Amino acid sequence: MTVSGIVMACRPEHLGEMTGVVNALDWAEVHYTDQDGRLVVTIEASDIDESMNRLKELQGLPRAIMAELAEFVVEEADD
Amino acid sequence: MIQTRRDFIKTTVAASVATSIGISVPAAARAKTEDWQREENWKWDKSVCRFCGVGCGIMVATTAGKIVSVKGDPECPVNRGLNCVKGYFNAKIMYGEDRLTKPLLRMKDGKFDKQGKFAPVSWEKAFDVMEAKFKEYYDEYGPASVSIFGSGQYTIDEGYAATKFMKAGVRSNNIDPNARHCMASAVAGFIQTFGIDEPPGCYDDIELTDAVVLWGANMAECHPILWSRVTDRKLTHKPMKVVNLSTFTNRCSDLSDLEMIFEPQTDLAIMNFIARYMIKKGKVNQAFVDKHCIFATGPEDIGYGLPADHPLEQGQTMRNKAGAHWSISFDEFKKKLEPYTAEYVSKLSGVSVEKLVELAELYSDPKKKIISFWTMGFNQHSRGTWVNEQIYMVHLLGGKMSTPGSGAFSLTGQPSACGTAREVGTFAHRLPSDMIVAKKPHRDKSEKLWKLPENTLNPKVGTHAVKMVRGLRSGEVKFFWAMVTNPFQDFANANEWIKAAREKDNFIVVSDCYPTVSAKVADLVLPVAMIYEKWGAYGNAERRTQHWRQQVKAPGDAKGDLWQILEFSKRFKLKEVWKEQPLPGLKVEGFPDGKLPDVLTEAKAMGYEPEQTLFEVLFATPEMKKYKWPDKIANGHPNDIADDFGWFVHKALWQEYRQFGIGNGHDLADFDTYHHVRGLRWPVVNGKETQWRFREGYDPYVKPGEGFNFYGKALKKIPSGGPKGEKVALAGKAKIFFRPYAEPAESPDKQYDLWLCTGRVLEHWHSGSMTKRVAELNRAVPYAKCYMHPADAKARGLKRHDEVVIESRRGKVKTRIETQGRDRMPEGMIFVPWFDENVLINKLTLDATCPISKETDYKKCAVRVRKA
Repeated sequence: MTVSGIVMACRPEHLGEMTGVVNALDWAEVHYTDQDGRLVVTIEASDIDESMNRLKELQGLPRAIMAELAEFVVEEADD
Repeated sequence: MIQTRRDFIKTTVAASVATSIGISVPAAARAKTEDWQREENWKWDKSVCRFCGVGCGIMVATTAGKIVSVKGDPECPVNRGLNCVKGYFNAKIMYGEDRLTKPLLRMKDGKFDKQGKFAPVSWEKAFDVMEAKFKEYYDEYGPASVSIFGSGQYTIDEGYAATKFMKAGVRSNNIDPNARHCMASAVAGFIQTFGIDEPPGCYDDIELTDAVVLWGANMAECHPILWSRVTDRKLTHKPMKVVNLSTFTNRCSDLSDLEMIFEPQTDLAIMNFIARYMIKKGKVNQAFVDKHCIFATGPEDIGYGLPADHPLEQGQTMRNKAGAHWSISFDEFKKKLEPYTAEYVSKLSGVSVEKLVELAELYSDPKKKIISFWTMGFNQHSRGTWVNEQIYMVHLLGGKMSTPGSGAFSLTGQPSACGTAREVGTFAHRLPSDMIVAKKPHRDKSEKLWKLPENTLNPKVGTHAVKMVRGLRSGEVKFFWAMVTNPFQDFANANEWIKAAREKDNFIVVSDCYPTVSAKVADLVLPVAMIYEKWGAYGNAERRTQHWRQQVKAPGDAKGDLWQILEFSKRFKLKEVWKEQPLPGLKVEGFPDGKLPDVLTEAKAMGYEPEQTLFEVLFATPEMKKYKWPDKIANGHPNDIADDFGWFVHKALWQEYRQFGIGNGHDLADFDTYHHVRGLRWPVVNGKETQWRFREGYDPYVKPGEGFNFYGKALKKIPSGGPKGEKVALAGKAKIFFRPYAEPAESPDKQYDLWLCTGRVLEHWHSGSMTKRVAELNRAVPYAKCYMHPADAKARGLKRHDEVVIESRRGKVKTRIETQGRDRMPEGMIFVPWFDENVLINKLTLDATCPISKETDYKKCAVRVRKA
């Protein structure tokens, strides 16, 4: 199992919509946002490849201006 | 609440990321993150990214001699905790399956043979053959026959040692970096305009500006972390405008308010339109221009940097004096701009009048702060120096230079193109700290600091990179050592140089980490230690110097480039190199014609013996050996090179090198300081870095009351009014150049009907030597596609993903076409990235260069495409 920490950005007026869209993905979760339109998101994936593909998916979301990887952890699943 | 370990990790990762980018996180979440990292028992240390010139700080975690994690350094002001996708894979680039771990020599019947097959040999055998071949050519043809092709990826100590070995040791100026392909036009633009190299501003400008204009810079893919800062500014500052000028639509267009797709080469004309517009509308900052600038121009018949017998060079009377220039009046300047009307430039460039005016208005608005960013679109240009000078023309006319939030800013493509190639001066004409070999006072200073007899240094400019490979073809260059670069994939018109390297009488050494195209072309391959397997320092695009420590050991017998240079220097005695040397064509006051003088007598008077080696005289000196190893600054980190030589080589070289810059506008801090900070931007005076050079209140070299002082010293005495006018001194002033539009060297025609532009993609870096070894990056972008407009595809009976042959007058390659995706091409143009050795696109490109900077134009040549 891998967990990636992602910084995303959208226009501030799209923040609510963006948060909803990301949280609707069963492998992504929005943890923090700020008024400037930035979101801190984690991605769960089975391996690095899947994680990178999911990052690309976030980058391709209609309101997303940016999605960059900030931190990455590989971990044995415990549940 | 029961929390699974997965939830726990997610919470801690999110808190860590949020903290690093300055989003407020509850104290409890922050503490949880710190506890977790402690439990994992990882040893974190600050380091620097291996890839582009942005210079992101990264944190590297090691345990049991292995790198286990890499993340963006939250304390580094450059990237503030972020990494791009390549940055994350910094550690993995060292662990490719085909990593070179033994020297490899072409052998037949147990001996070196140029037609032989690669066989592993000991370092001793490798150096024996390398020494014999070097001396075979050197003794017969002199210092002009040997060369090093270096790199903007050299660490600073590597570049410094290589320069010292070549220039002070074997007295050859034939060392030139791959930065010649990347930055040389920017350098020439800086020197001609300001008399000193490198950007006056810094990345802090981004958070202070009102507009960012990109000129041939796909920042979203090539400088993604800086692009994230531009994005941030765009989102948080309402008046912010982003303009993307490019020859095709790329990812930067997504954020842009204004996209301008122009015909290749017409950026020259667009610039002149903006200047003309500003003058016509009364938008020139006259007080600034009168006090701090003069107007200048130069010859127009300067050719295209091709060999003298090339048809394009005929009648180009100033092809060997392309950099000459003289001052002109403001009235003359205005007159020269007169043809560049909106209508004329619109027709030439394909950009609408409305868009041209909108852009010119942005530069003209005195209340708007504005940054212009560029990279290879300007630099890799057959008029690269001119177009660099033109962007300063526009900024200087508006008084928008060296001001927080405003400035023209040249981005770099390599991690130490600035720190090593430019600041150390690993170029054929340079010495450290912006000095040049052609100037006696500069040689004198260098000879003093290097403790050399007078006239040891060679005053004749050496062979620049493009001339170096042409020299392989003509037979003038016999010994060629490539370090930290992949020349036979990188050079335009590559077929010619691969053939010359393989078939001519010469010896090619390639120091490399993987079996690249260049390694395969070589006669001898030397395996190298990579980034975190050695100590090092890089200098990024905003003059920030950053050092790092060795984290892990190199595999097998791989050794750092610094170790290789020092070991090789043991093979030369003073009597072999400081004797009289033939140097065809030398005609310089104080030197015998065609010869470098014997300096052994003076050397003896200085206490040197003819039997001493270059290692002893240049590197293992008593002053250098004062820097003992181990040193507490290592904080427990290894240093294989110091272990081998017995003193702290990196620190010793740094402390010597920094003497060149002190008081010279290039001041650097001492070695230890850099291990306590996240880099410092030079000049560093009294421990304080400089954000904006030339500007009162920021730059210690500008006196109170001056406002601005463009104090660079180079080319500050120029003829007045014309090429033969009386010379006038321009101390403290910047030059506003007029440069005309000039046709490209090669354009599409009936036979070859498409433009070819080459470049990079986000996932791969340069020739892909490293990123192609990272499975995840390779799978993300496995090969170089040919991006093409759907109409162009249709006209050739092609559909998306069809296999095609791309041909130019110089060669052909096969790949597949892409008519969608990240790059959307205009009709008549294709884009092919150059990272893929299986689609060796530089077989097709033309080796025309800017005649001033000698940098190749990789952005424009004519090709045709057909179904494979």
